[in-house]
Amino acid sequence: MQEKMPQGHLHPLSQMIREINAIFYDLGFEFAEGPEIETEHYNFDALNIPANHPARDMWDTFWLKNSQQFSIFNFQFPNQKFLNSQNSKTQRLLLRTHTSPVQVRYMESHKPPLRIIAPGKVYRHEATDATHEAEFFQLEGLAIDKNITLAHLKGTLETFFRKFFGYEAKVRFRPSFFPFVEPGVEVDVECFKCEGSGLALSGVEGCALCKRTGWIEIMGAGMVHPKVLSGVGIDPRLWQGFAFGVGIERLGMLKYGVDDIRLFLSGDLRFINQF
Amino acid sequence: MLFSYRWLQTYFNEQLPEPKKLANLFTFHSFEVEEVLTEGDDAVFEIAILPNRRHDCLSHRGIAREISVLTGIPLARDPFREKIPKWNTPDTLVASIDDADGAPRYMTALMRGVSVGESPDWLKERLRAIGQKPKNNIVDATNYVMFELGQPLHVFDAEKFTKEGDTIKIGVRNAKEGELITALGGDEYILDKNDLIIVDGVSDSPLGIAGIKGGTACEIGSKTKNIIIESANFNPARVRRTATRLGLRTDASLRFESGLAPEQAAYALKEVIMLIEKLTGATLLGVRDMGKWESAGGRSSSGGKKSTAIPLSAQEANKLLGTDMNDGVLLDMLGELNFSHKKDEDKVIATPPFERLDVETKEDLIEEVGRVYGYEKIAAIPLPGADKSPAINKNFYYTEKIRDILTGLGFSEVYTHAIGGEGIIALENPLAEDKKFLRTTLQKGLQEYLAKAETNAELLGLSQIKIFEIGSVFSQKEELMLGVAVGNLKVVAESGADDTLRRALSSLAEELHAKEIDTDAEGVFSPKEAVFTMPLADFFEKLPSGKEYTAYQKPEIEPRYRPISQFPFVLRDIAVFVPEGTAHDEVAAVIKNEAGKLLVRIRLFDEFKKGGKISYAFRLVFQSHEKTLTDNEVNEAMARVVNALNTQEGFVVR
Repeated sequence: MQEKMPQGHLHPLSQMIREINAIFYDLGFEFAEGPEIETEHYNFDALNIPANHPARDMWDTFWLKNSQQFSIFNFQFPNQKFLNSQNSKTQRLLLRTHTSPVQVRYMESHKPPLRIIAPGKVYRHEATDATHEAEFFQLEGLAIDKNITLAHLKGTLETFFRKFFGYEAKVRFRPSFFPFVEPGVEVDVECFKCEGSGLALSGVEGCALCKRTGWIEIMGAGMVHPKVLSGVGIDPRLWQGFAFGVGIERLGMLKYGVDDIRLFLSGDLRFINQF
Repeated sequence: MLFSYRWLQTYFNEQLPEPKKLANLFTFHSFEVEEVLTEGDDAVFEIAILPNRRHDCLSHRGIAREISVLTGIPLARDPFREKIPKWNTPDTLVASIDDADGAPRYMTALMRGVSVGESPDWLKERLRAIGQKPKNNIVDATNYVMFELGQPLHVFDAEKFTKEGDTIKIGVRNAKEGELITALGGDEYILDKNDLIIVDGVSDSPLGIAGIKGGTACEIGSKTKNIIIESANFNPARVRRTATRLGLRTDASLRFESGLAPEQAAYALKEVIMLIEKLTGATLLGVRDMGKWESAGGRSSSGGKKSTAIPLSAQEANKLLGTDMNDGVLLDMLGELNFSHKKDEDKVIATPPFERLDVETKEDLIEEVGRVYGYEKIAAIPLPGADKSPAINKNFYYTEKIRDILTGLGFSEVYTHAIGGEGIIALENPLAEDKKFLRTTLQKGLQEYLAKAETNAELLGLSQIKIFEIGSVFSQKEELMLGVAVGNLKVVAESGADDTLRRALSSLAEELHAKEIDTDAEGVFSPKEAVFTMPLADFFEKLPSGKEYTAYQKPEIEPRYRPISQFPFVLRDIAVFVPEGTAHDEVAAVIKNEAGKLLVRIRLFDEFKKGGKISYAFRLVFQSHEKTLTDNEVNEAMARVVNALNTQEGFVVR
């Protein structure tokens, strides 16, 4: 007998990226991209994360074997000034550990003011389990102008979460450290399950999602470090702005209630066809 | 690191806020407190010290200073503000540094008349509270000072040195390639010429790996009478390199790696000398202080110059933070931070104390002021409207179009792993032997997922699997590819996998107003399975730029994920004769009702009319979320279903 052709299903990662792009487009952010194979320069050095520095430990990296055999021309839009410098000869290639290099590349080729989002695939040398994957997707955002402050970061994130999660989510900052921002903050969003109360609808143990705190730790952010700006030819005395980074699967686990990150790359239609 | 509440209280005359309140203050103004445990009448904090504060806060003194800043309670004592005594230089001890860059400062103290024994109870308790094991009074004293002031110390048995007459010589030099050392605990290490070591200045034999771990040669023992205490400052990058290479990360190397202030060495030495004098009655013969740290202008944690005065105005702070502080508030904050400061017209010139190597620039200072002031005081303000609409990203525009076209044709989107067992580009440090390469094609991943879907076909209720992926592949360069695949579960003449795929690709080209896609190029085409891949860069290049993204439609109800069972499913078929005119939904409803929640899918797969009756045949899929179902359990369910059907008027199960 004839079966009706069912509508195919867009992967939840694509659904989220689509929605994220729509929200940020309305706020004036352009969608930016970059290569997944990156140079040490764009992934670390340009972001104020020098070699032999403990800060590097914050990102477990996949390095490519025999990097020097591959012409870096094949893998990136070359920064001519850098290529002519001594450092390019000893550059190693890696799988990018965050989409921050996309911000650096964009800033090198565009003058401020600028606003971009950079969703993309990233890689971390980490054992895989229910909340960790070696391959996942990150979203980074960047806004540089004359007078952008942490207050604008708060406002932008609250707008984003309100539209993305669908409730009036307040945001709060805690002190943190990332080499490419100063100040650096951790961002918590009000738990949507218990609406910030920490209480559960039923039972006395309290809200499981936020462990009764009423808040969920969701991303890192901060004001772009002057060294990063001057490195790309932007005068930090004239321009300033914020940057943030969040795991897209993490957003999906909160938004859709997915309990295992490995499902996103499982290719399992029992998962994908639910969306 | 673990911090004892009682130990922290010793820095203050006033009673500190109770542990939970203190933890809260830290989390919102300094560092995240991961746990607060009660240990008897003490509380122990597990605090995640941020990487840029390890140099001053991996110590009780550093955290006590933070408490003082956040609560306003003054410190009753601050070891870093006390006077360093004018020590004599010992006649019988000399030190030399071969590599000035490796050891900016090297202090040694010679003490006589030590008696090694058990530590007093208060000392043992303090160490135990933070997870350290007491050993003997000498080792415990150095450990205590390290966790108190953040300065690692080492002690040598002075009598185990090879003397030159009466004189002990201690040296700091680079190891020779292949030189060996047996570290405390017994492990032997092979050193290279970049490893900095401490040596017996007379025999030239290694006594310790600088900044990381001591050697057994001059180990403290129960009979030790005279000791040499080392309090030094080592090059952070050098310590990190050696520690990583040897796989030997210690409490000492962790601190040196962060880049300590060279001044700390003197304060720590003063503390440990006092403590050992008190615990053992030993006498200090003298202190040697070597190193070029002062003339080098000191060192900051980032390797730059030592921090000096930083000018800042309230307006500048507000400009970055988005706050509304006035000059008075700024002065208050700097006072609370205990940074010396003086007004200079509309700015304040602040000078961080020597131990704050992380505060070098205006932005660093603004962060200090901001976090003490409190980020909760920052209001949420929207960005001003942008001047013009953002540019349309061509790649994203067209990949989104492809997604819409293909899902409209019944294809579901997958993402497959880029790291796998085959490829040209290999990883230096793969996670597993079978995950060493980057994929050169999407084909293999898609074929694997077709096979996976096939095993779940009944669960999915599909007879044809249609999937696609948009992702990068890596060979001579990185390329964005489109991969489309169709798998047939039974070969059906008018819809073979190859035909379905070709028709889909044809529709795709048409809807994009692109040239016909050449399906002879890259792919596998058979009635059972068809896979096609295509690079997108060239394809998009021939297409015009996008003007506007498709308007986003938020779904009415957001999907909510339902957990997938990991247990195998069981299939059963059932056919029923029913009176003409009975809808198959009616029959299905009875089945669903009776079978219960173990029935996860029901599918009508056959129907025919015969002698005034209709026969409906259903495929039933049973699965549990909790366990593998037994045949008995399924049979029981089926028996109930058969019974329920047969009791319906005019229904006869075949």
